[in-house]
Amino acid sequence: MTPLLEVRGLTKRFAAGGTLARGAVRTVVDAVDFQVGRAEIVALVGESGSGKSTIARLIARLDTPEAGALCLDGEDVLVREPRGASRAYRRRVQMIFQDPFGSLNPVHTLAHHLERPLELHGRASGAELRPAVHALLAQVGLSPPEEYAALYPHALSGGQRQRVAIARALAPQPELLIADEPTSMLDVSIRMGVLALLRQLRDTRGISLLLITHDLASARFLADRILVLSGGRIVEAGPTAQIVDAPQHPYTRQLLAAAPGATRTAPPATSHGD
Amino acid sequence: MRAGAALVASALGRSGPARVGAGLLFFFVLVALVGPLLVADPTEMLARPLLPPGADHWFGTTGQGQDVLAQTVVGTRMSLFVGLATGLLVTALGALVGVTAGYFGGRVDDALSLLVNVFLVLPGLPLAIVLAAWLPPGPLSIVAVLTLTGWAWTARVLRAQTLSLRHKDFVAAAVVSGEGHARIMLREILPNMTSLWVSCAVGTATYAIGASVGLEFLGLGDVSRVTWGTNLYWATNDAALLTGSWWTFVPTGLCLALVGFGLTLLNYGLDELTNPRLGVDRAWRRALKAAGRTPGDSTPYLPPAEGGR
Ligand SMILES: Nc1ncnc2c1ncn2[C@@H]1O[C@H](COP(=O)(O)OP(=O)(O)OP(=O)(O)O)[C@@H](O)[C@H]1O
Ligand SMILES: [Mg+2]
Repeated sequence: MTPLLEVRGLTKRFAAGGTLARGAVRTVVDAVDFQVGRAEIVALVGESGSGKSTIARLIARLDTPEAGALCLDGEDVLVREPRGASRAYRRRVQMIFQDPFGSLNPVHTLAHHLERPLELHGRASGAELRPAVHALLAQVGLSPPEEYAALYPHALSGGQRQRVAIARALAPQPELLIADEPTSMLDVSIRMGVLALLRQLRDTRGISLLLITHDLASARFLADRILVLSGGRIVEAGPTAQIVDAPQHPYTRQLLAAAPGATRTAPPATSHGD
Repeated sequence: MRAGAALVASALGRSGPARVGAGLLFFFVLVALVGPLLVADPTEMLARPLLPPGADHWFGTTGQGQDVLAQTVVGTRMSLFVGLATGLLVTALGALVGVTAGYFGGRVDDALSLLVNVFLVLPGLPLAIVLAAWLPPGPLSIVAVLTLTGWAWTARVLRAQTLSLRHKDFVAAAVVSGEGHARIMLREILPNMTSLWVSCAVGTATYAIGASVGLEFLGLGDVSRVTWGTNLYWATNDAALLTGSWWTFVPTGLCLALVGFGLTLLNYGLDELTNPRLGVDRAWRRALKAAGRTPGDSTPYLPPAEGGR
């Protein structure tokens, strides 16, 4: 069976910057290959600057790669839609951003944030909008939804905002969710709640998840497979247990040594709620 | 958009200068709307020329025997209209060009920025004078001239702000949601700089009222209409200074100054919004005074306020 998402030879270069270094480029993502299967959770792990967010933006088609193929259901969308993502692609692939304080527009209510994707992707319109918005809010654990719908982002905590961002990403009913460090800006005490919500989405709805994180503990908690990224290359990939228990690459060992929660057999501290 | 406007309005309501400015403006808008219904015909010869202020003609009469009060009141309407219309047009044009340039960046930005820069280096007032002399006289020509010479600054300011907003995650999130470019600019970016474009609009209106009066004073307007500018034009034409008939130009001049003052106060309040430091400074000085200290002392320590953070 073809995987839902397959990335082959994905490469992104940026101008190295500085007027002196005119024309110099830096390869930030270097010929990366991986797959995400249906209802699979794949974690992309790597230190800061290793190119994780760049990969997320490439798959979300906020940026265009210099080379490589990006296949959804086996079809290279970069070839089919070279001038930017179609609405159909956006409906199937959604993204959650790292910073919940930047990813919600401060001048709009939560209802606005959810109504727009519902309308754009034909999931609800007119009189159905209100109940659809409320259902989304309830699904991510923000209740009573009638009250939350009318709030502005500044009235919410970080964890609540991230739940709104997840609800927005769910509105088009996507098949693949890219989550770029969804918990790194959150308090340790509320991380588990957000991670558990993501896992529940996979379990109940069969959504595939590409979880980007520098924290091996949350990768271990959530992921079926782990990809280890270093300097824009994937240095090690495999099932979660294999990566955590028998790391092959020295960089992976280094990451494991730096993440005390990752090697424990019990899951990391499970305090739920915001 | 509505939310942004509501935030700005409520913040303005808390600023003293802005409240005074809004009050002044409200008064003149009222005068412009209903005033002309209450006063005599400003173009008719009603009495002896150059009567000083008195019981029959509170502000006196002009060199043509027209009522100065009527002229001042009726002139308010056209002068405010020119200011408002120019403010709106300049802001719309400036936002269109500036936000488009900042949002798309790259070649679009290069082309639009070049256009903006060309208009910025054109000397505004001389060009306005030449254009006004060349176009058929009238308030619409003046609005057109002032818009053409004034939009570039607004475009530049809004472009700069857009450049900093377009890299925010909520813009990327809107793109991922499948939102179109036009809607992102209108609904996601513009409302996040409401205080900025409102203050541009207010500043432009201030400039436009002054400049329109100036152009009309030079005789570049339609001198058969009653505006503040033509009032002053006729006052000099009738040698007001030589005859000592100060009442023919002082009321108009005073109104002009008051409207300018009101708009400036309003903009001062907006400035506090865009530049929160001003407000913080003021609050700090107030707190110092309440504690009986003067600014400039050695670093003062204030005990935390009751129930404060
Ligand atoms: N638009 C850009 N222009 C130039 N360089 C960029 C750009 N975006 C990212 N980079 C560079 O690419 C490298 C990888 O960045 P990226 O944001 O993908 O890292 P990351 O793995 O997500 O790190 P973090 O954990 O800190 O989020 C960084 O060195 C960054 O400076
Ligand atoms: Mg990142």
